[in-house]
Amino acid sequence: MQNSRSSGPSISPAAVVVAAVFLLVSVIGINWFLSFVPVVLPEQASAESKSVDELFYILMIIGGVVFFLIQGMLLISVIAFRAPPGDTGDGPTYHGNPLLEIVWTIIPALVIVFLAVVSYNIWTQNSAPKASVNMVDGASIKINVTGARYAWTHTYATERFDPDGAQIIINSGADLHTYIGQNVDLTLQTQDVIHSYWVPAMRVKQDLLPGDPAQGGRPTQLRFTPVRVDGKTYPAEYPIVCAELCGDGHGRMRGTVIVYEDESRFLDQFYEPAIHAILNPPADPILRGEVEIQNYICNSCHILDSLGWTATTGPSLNGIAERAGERVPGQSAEEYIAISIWNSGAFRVPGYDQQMAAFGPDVMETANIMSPEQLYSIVAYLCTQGEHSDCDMENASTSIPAAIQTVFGYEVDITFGLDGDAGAETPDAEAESGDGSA
Amino acid sequence: MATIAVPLGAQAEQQEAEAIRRPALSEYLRWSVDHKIIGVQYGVSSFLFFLIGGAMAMGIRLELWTPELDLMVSGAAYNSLFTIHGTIMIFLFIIPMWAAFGNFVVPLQLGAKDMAFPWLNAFAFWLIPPAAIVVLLGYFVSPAEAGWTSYPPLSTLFSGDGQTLWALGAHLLGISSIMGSINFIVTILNMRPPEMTIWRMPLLCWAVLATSIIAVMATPFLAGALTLLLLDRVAGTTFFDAAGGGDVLLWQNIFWFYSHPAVYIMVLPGMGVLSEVLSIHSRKPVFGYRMVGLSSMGIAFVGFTVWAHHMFTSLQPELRIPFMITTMIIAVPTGIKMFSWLGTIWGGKIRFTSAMLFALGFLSLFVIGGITGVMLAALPFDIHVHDTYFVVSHFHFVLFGGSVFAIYAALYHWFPKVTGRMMNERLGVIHFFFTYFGFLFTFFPMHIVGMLGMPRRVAVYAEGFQAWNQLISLSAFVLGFSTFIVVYNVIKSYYHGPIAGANPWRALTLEWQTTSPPPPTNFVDDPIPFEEPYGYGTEASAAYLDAVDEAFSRGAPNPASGH
Amino acid sequence: MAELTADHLPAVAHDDHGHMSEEEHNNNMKLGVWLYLASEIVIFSIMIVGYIIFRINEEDIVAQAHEELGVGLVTANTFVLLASSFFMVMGLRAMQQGNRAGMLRWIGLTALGGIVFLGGQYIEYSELAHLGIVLGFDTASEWSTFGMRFYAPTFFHGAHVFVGVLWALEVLRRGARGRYDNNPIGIEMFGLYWHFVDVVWIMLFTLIYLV
Repeated sequence: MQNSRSSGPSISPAAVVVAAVFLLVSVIGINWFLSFVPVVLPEQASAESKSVDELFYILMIIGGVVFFLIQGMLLISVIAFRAPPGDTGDGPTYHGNPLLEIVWTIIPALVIVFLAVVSYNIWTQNSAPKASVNMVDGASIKINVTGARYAWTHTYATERFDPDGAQIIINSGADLHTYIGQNVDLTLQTQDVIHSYWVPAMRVKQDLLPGDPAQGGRPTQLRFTPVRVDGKTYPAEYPIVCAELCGDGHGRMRGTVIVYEDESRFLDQFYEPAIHAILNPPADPILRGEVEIQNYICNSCHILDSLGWTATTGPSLNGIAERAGERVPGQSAEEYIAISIWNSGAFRVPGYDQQMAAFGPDVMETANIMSPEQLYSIVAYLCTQGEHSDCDMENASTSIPAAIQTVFGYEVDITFGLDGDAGAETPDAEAESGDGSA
Repeated sequence: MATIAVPLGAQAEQQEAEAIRRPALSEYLRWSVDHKIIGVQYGVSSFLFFLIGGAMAMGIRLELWTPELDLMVSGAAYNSLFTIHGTIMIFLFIIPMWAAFGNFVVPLQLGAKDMAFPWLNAFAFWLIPPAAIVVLLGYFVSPAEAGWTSYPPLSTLFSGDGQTLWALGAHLLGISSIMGSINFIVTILNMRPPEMTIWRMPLLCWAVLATSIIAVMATPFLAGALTLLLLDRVAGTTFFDAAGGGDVLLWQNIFWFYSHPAVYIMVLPGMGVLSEVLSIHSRKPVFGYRMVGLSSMGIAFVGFTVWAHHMFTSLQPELRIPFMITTMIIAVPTGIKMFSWLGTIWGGKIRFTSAMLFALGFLSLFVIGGITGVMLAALPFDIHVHDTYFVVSHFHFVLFGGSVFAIYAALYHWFPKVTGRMMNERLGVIHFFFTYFGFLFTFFPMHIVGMLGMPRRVAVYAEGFQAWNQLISLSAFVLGFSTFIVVYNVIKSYYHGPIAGANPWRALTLEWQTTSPPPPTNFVDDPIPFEEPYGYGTEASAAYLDAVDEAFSRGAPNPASGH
Repeated sequence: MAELTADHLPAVAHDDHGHMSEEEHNNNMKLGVWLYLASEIVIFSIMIVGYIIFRINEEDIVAQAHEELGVGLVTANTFVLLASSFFMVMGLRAMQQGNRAGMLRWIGLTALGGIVFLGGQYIEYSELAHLGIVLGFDTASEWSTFGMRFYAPTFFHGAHVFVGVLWALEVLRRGARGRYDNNPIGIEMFGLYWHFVDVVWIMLFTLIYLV
């Protein structure tokens, strides 16, 4: 039953036809593949995304050739070389072809060199520092991103100052505001575990790495430049997601990049109003507290229906004012709430682990710095959360500062920010020392 | 176990039973130093873990049916589910499953009477059950939820005691793997009869040798990393805690220095199986035998230089380019293997046995895993899809489309040798088609959701991805169902399959030149290897095979020629 | 029942090693131990490299630690371990010359050397603990980052010495029964391990105490 063919496969007319058909199928197939590229990738919302997608096209073409070559040969083998029924014989004794082996070593190697060069070029082009970064009104600002389980916080260190001379820092929470053409340069810091900041539409991603807080953490950088997307209405929104497992709420650790059409709209709709709000806080501490509390990462762990918070890592804040007075005998509701914010380790609600970050005027994490005045307004706001309140809301402007004075020894300047005339012991020194230690 | 008491049938059974002498089932439950018993012990226990891990995968897909959290009580519960799924599939299924085939087949293929260290062999196996209990116990106590990669500080400062048990279990499994691999290396290098020269070795032996060298050199890195992790967790050290002068990337570096080579630990033996199966079932020598053997060594070597591509989004940017280049280089030896396999079947006389179908399935799926592997190596594109479902898809194409398909091919191929009976081919074909298409429709769409913006390891996702995820989940259930077909086939064939005879596939490698199953001493006389392991198609090989058939002439039907 | 029980099979014990020649057996054992030691080197090198990086980054703490550690006790300890390696060689030589009593004496001394070394390490650890150098991280202690990098490799090495002592005792037990009279491979394997432990210690000693 020996097969008579002892030499290798020879070139026959049939093989030429098969090869031609195969070539045709590959070309049509790869084209068909490529028509899907825009469907399987998000919009190209940044300059970087365009070059990354170009690389993807190249990879698809090379991958398509390999795919059709191998699947095609497989298919031909399966059809052409199946043993005829009843044939129990062997195939030809053919051990290999050194020339062919050299060819299929060299060609992939050359393709690899080509791909490496192309990738390297795109990489250096995309990751190079830009000439002008985060320019607002001709001046540069720093945009910082803080990741904490399970929320993103974006802060803008502006070059404006409040009447006390303190730098104004805009906190836009989970939203990054930018505009078409702005070279966004982010500095990323984490408060706990590793996170990964990913904006699919921009094709950029960078891990946030825990570092030694005493040495200013371990900041990482991320750069991208938003571009116009045809047919998009502005301001356009693109999701930010966390790509590195960070625990229970990893899936809902999201944010939004909001891209304005041009700088003037960015200034009018986001930047100036934000600064205005900081310089002119509502006189009512409760209203101020409602704004202030949203500048922190409280929403990443707590439920609070009034603000639409849904996280369940920590105890619910719904109705906190009804309970705060009964928690610890001899402690007022104001004192309890103030302590649980600045010294969260002091209490533990049954059923929850002590996981809350530290807040206060001199904590290591910039995003968690909270002046006594901010604490005052946040306590005032939380004192309104409930059917009734254990706090002395009639005299909130004295009872809460008194509580803060009692438990932390800080004098609260309740007129802070309301006029240009701040007291001698402003918290700015504290806030700045927090920055300065970095 | 009971035989149905049809008189005529019973008589036939009786006759058949005399033809195959296999160990009592109770032998498999006891301590044994016979490599064939240990091989089956490894195989059956690994397959049980495959079923457990697969059931967990079904749970994962159920949870992902909707974008919200509904099946699980919390995101943490979901996290621990995929953590244990990954841990089981890697450490308790694929790696020990290759130890199963390596144990059973390698000494036979070499013509050796046992492994070099039979006692150590048994000990390595018996470390697995306690390790598995520790890992699974952790799941029920307070589960590890940091993924199988267990990155600190999530795995040190933010996880429960289950993480400690997880690390202990993984540690034990690593030790078991090191011991098993030392055994394989010594066996392959020292236990060959003089006629079995290194260039006559079957390619499975080459692959197991390469795999074992990787395991001995790489697994200690896992052991070292886990030791430091355990110290951080229980002794208050801060090797991975930046606040105490440690470094979180230290873990990632050591871990991937083990775990990337571990990918080759999981796939190289499958490549060895593929060379065997493709050659035997298409009746043609392996194309470029030496290059296929050497490319295993090449992959093993280059595999040690690529680990940091798993850290493309955390590594210092300057260091990323070199790792991109080394990673791309791996494509060259892998390509040599792919083309050599195609060259092997090209012009052959292909028998569409179940083993062959799974081997062809491997070829067609692994090429997709290879292409996406090069895409992931291309740094700018990787940045976009890093830690997304694209990556999930890629490594399932390599580890399921690659390793698991090879495991199935090996199962159908060597089952007759292990049990003396053939598997049911019709069920095998049905199993193949369910698995192939279930797999394709489960994992191919994952590329797309990944690229569109769905990160991996999330229990809740953006609503726009729901349709894709439902398609994936449905296909996953088909894939899950396919497993029952093979389980049924194995049990049924174990008792009622046709008698295999010594060499049902008319293969030239030595494991077929003895009875099925082989006697405790493996060979009655010293076996004489044919001049080359895959020398099909020559007069000499036909004469050799006829002589073997004659020598074991229990007139068994020969399905290889029966089509 | 389709299978036959073992009773029906030719009477061959499953754990029969008779088919392996002595030389083959010895070669396997030696290659196995070498591979095992290769994997041990990896684990030690992770800890040693960890220490080197720390040393480069934190020269002050290491300099301070050198003053506190003192080399007297540890030098004596190193000498004991080196001597025990010599005893080990003598024990193997004695056995190869067929002198079982001599072998038992030398291997006994080897084990004793190991025990003395562990005793010395215990004394050193308790002295260091008094100075506040502990394994766990403690923000209050200036030694907070040194302790773990010192204890991890030295304790891991100590654990290997401990295992070595147990192994030596087992060699004594088997040797006393004449197990090695014809084939001293068991002693040779123990010897490889013991020399390895010794070499690792010389590296640790040089790295941690001297430079």
